[in-house]
Amino acid sequence: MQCDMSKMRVAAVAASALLLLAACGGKDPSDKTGGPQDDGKAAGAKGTVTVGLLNPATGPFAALGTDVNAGFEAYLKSKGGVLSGYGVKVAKADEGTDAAQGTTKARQLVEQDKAQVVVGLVNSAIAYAVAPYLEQSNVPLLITVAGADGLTRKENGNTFRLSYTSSQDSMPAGPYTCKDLGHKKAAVLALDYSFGWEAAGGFARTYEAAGCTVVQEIYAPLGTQDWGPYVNQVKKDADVVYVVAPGQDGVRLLKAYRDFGLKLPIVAHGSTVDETILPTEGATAEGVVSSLHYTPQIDSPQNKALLDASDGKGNQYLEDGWAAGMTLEAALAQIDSDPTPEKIRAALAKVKIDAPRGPLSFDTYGQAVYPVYIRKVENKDGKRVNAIVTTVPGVGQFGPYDPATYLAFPGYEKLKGTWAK
Amino acid sequence: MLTWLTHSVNGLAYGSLLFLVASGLTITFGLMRTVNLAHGAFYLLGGYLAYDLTTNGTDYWLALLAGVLAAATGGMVVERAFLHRLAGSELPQIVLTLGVAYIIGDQILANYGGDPVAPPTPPGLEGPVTIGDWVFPKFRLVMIGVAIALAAVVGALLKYTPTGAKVRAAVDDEEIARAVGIRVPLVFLLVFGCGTGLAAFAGVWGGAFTSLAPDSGFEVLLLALIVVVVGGLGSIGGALLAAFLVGLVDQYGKVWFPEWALFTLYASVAALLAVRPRGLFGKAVFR
Repeated sequence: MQCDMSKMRVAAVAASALLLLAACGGKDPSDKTGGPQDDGKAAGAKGTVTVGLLNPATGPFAALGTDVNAGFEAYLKSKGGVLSGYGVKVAKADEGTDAAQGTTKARQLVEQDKAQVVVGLVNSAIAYAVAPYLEQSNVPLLITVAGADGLTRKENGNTFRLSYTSSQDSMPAGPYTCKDLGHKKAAVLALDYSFGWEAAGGFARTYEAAGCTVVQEIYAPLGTQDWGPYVNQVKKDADVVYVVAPGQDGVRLLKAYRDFGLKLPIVAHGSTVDETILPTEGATAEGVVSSLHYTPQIDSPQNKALLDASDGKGNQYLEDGWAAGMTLEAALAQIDSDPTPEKIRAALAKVKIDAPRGPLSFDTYGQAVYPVYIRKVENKDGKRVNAIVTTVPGVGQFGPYDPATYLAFPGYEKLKGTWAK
Repeated sequence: MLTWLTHSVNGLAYGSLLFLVASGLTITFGLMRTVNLAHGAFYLLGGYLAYDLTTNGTDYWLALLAGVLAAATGGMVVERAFLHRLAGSELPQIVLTLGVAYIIGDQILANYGGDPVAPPTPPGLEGPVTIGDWVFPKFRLVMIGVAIALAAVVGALLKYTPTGAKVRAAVDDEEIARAVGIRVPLVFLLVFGCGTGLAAFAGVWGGAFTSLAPDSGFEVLLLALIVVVVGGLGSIGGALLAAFLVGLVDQYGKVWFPEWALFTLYASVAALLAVRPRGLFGKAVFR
């Protein structure tokens, strides 16, 4: 009896240890990429510039971080390590899985490695901690993945973002679903955290503004193992399901959706069917319409250069890293000598490039304005691809609204649950 | 009406998946009393290997077998080389198996990357089955049958066969078992191998259900531990019942209070353990 109880205690200890682990997202203490690396040995005519690359090498976002780094480094390599006359020295650090580590690493990049600009960040929670620190130390930050809307809400700050705000890429899907596809009633099925609320909210707002109705909202926790209970709740009288479920959740959701033989068409945020998970989703993704600022199907010399440099493998994260390289090059081109963080900040604000995704510039809040593609998953030579259906040019973080109107709206976390009529 | 049938059967199907994962742990942890936090890692090992082989054109069932055998062998190596030295001391076992879990997890991250993959659904079980107006995925329906069959087979093996008797004897009183000529270390080695082999089987089937990523090993292990503890350590029938209960509670929690989905599951487990600390069928040990 005594013995049995002690086993139970061990079980309890083990279970709580696991809960902790799950909460930390399997944090790996080994720091494989810590410390500076001198891959930019090439000396430029105008001098050198140190770029801090701060992306996750461990934890659940490791795959995304690796892709961003690969994209940035591939662009650098294609230029022989020199951007606009400056030899680029790359200092890499692991963003990790919590704000404390992220900030420590940002500090290390700025104070030890003397980075003049920091590029990266995947996790929005970490970005919220790192951005104020960099603001304070006057080092410009170029965000490549982190999507929280609030990160680019300060005019003339020193935070810039190439990737989407969570609602930016979903706003063009609203009018498209309502008017072009003619689906009048939508059920929203999204993940229950800030990205899910913001992406779903962006769609719901423009969809209802276009004259259609959201009839149901379902939110599921991040990392839902079985989507069966959720997909089975979708109202049968809806015309379309709008889905926000990036990563593994997207794989599981689509599988459950097809397994249960549901017939409603799916419109999704582009990250639900992006190229990192599309091969795993396979046939379950067939026919899904989604909106995103990138697809490897874009037919342009800039995109071809990216695909050639990365063995034909393209996805939004590789493109984010690649575009970061182009952005930096365009900024450095405006600086004649001594690229101080202040000069880089001022130059970044004026950058206009033709990225693989298309024409890109920054608004006064530092957020990228770019075309958004309405795509459809199609089978091309036995492989699923996001084929371009139509392009919406010049989409900014405020969508069709002017900044003052948009910023007066209540936050998406308050609007969650109020879209459905 | 049909919706409720779907919800209930799906709860049972998800419970069956949990049982497949927990079955191996019931044997190694519940019966053998060896804490194995690498259980989720062996789940991944089996799943990724089968995924790798099937994408390279190997027959599905052959790939499944290879995954199970590889994990069983791996498990036996870990038991023989390290774990058997730590018999009876749980905390070192926790540290050791956690280390093994990290090593396997990081190897998978290094070899396959962090993007999710999914072993295929077993051939012939793809898509839904339609009975009248009722639509339900074939694979999930079969999973329920497999879970019940597995519980029956493992339970019967332990209860009615001489091998099962030896295992129980070795667990209950190692010294006497040795004295009557049972090769206890060999029994433990094989039992542990069966446990990790079952984990790999669950990885191949569960992976087709929920897909795999390097960190899904721990997600799965947590649910498996819950099932084993709720069912009562060492009770196969208890684990099956617990898995069904957890599956149903999880399902209806998601239907009735979707915003509280995680809370409903863990809160009900906590409540149950407060009332029955030994789980549903945990037996008191008399000494």
